[in-house]
Amino acid sequence: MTDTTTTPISSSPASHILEPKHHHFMKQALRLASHALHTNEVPVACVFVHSPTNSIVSYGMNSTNDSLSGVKHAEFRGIEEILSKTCSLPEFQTGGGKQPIEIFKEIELYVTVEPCVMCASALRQIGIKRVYFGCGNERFGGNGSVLKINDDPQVKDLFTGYVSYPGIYRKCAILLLREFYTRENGKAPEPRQKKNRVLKLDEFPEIKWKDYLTEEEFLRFYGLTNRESFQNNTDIIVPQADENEEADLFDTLMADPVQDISDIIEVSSQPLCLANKKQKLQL
Amino acid sequence: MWSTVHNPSVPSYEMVKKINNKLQIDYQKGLIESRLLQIISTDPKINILNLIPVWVIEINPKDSSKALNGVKSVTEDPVNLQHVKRVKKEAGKNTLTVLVCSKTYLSTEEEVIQMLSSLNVPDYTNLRTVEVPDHGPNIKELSNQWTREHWPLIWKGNVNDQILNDTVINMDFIYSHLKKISEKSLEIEMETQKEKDNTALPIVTLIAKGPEIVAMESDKRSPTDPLTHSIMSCIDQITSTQKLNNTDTSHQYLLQGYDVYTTHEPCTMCCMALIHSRINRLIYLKQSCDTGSLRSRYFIHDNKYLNSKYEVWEWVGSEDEQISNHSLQNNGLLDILLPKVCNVRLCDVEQFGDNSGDTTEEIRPSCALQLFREAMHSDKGTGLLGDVQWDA
Ligand SMILES: [Zn+2]
Ligand SMILES: [Zn+2]
Repeated sequence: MTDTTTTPISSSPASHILEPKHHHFMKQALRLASHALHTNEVPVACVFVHSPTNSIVSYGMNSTNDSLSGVKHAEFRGIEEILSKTCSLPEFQTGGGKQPIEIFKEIELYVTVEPCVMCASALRQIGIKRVYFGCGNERFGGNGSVLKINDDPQVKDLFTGYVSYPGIYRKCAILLLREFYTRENGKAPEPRQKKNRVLKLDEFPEIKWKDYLTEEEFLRFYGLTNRESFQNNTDIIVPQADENEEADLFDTLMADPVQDISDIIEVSSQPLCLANKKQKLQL
Repeated sequence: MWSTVHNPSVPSYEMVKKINNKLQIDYQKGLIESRLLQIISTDPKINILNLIPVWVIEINPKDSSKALNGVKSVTEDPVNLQHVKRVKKEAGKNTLTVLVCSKTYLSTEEEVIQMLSSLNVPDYTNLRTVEVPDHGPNIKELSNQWTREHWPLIWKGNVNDQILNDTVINMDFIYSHLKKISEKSLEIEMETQKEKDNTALPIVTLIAKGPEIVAMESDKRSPTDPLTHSIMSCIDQITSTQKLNNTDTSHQYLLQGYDVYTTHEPCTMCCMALIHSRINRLIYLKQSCDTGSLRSRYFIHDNKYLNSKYEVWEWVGSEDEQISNHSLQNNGLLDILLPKVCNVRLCDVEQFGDNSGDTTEEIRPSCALQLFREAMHSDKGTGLLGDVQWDA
């Protein structure tokens, strides 16, 4: 859809997926999801990133159990935090000329699981710039798994929709969910064997790229080298990444009894700073 | 992809008053008491014939029970054959034709012969394939026709007729709830016409358990608070009250058994929030063509891929004696309710706006809101605003 790139795919310099920031931000979302898991919530979490400055401006974790509400999904907390922070900026106050909702055209979302139909619609109604997610949501995914709310031209509201890119640390996102359902069923978590922890491909469901993206959208983001993944419904290959990286990450997430997320809370509690200079990421 | 048309190919319809249900039901239209229109997603192909090949044999009638027991014990067939009869009596033949299995399940004659011998099916002749409908229609006449022309089908009655029969409707409190939201909606509408800066939308939602109202909210959305639709506010309100009064954390599905009454067909977000909350029923007053996600598109309440469902009815009653006390008595209930609410579609905004050069991304909701209010108060707006509305 409305991706900013307009150059032909063949002349795109490199795939966007190689930008380390995508994995960096998804890793933060996974840490939050792991934290949610340890507090007996469904491990789904997200971070919102202000793209001009590359900074995390809010986060969200599922809290449907704690709140006794089926609608307290991770995305909503994040959206509310951004809106309230935006309202306190001078340029967005009455007479300042800008409306708080406008901030979202510069905001990207990294969420561990595909937004559900409700959240997909909410994200579209605020005009989010772009969404990245880990695994699909077969039961009520709204970015292609069940319905494709994010850019369906049938709906005629203020914004025409957004593109969403799945598959970033997909296996980790799935493993966290599996861990939750194993615990919920009262089974003891299986002891993880350090030696044999390579995440085998056949243990994961396939990822049906065509449900989420056109081939062109896919190739622009994941690069021509991943064309086979698109056709075979397999995970993308990130050339520079260590093949054990995702397994290591999952081990790290599970190692701490309760994941310390104070750094993310600290960063997102800062007032918004919209200065147009990109932060250098500490990766 | 979806359609709400009830049995479109049958020209005449009957108005039946079943003994066990005192309600007046039009089964053809899915209409109860001429006021509540059932909104369901119907498979648009349900009455379209599609034939698939199956294996059949001919047997002596005295062997029929043995043969039937044999073929009915096959449970691995991936093709559902529950809508067809297993035996056909063909005119002029003294044998019976028995359906063995689908050709999808066994593709060669040898495999079928082998299976029949393992099932101890007695002597048979004329093993061959014939074509049968792959599903049953929901119209009795059509079922009879497919039976005559192709293969005998089992008619179990229209499933939805049974659903309509089982529907429990208490028109008294339904009407009273709807009247309440419609009056509130009108009140908001009057206020916004008086005050220029008031951009509130006349969308109102009420949640009730039977006659008992548990929440009622109007739309509070703004550029500062774009997602505070009336349904979301009602859910929030109930959540916070219940959290105060209830420490039982196992009660996760908050609105189980509750009914939602709302002035407009809700947007996708709200429709799905109600799936997550497990409501029982939703009744709305006015369809939202641009953003509604029940009747207008998606049928979110009745989507087999989503994990649960709820009933949805559109109020289509147009005149009522009680409402005639109202100052706007010349209008029908619907017209009173939602007079000139409009939706900010991009084309509308561009038409009125000084922002004609802006791209979609840059259109500001505040500006859009303002423009639509201006349009509402100006003469040139009325024609345009007639057929559009905000999402709820
Ligand atoms: Zn959600
Ligand atoms: Zn809504």
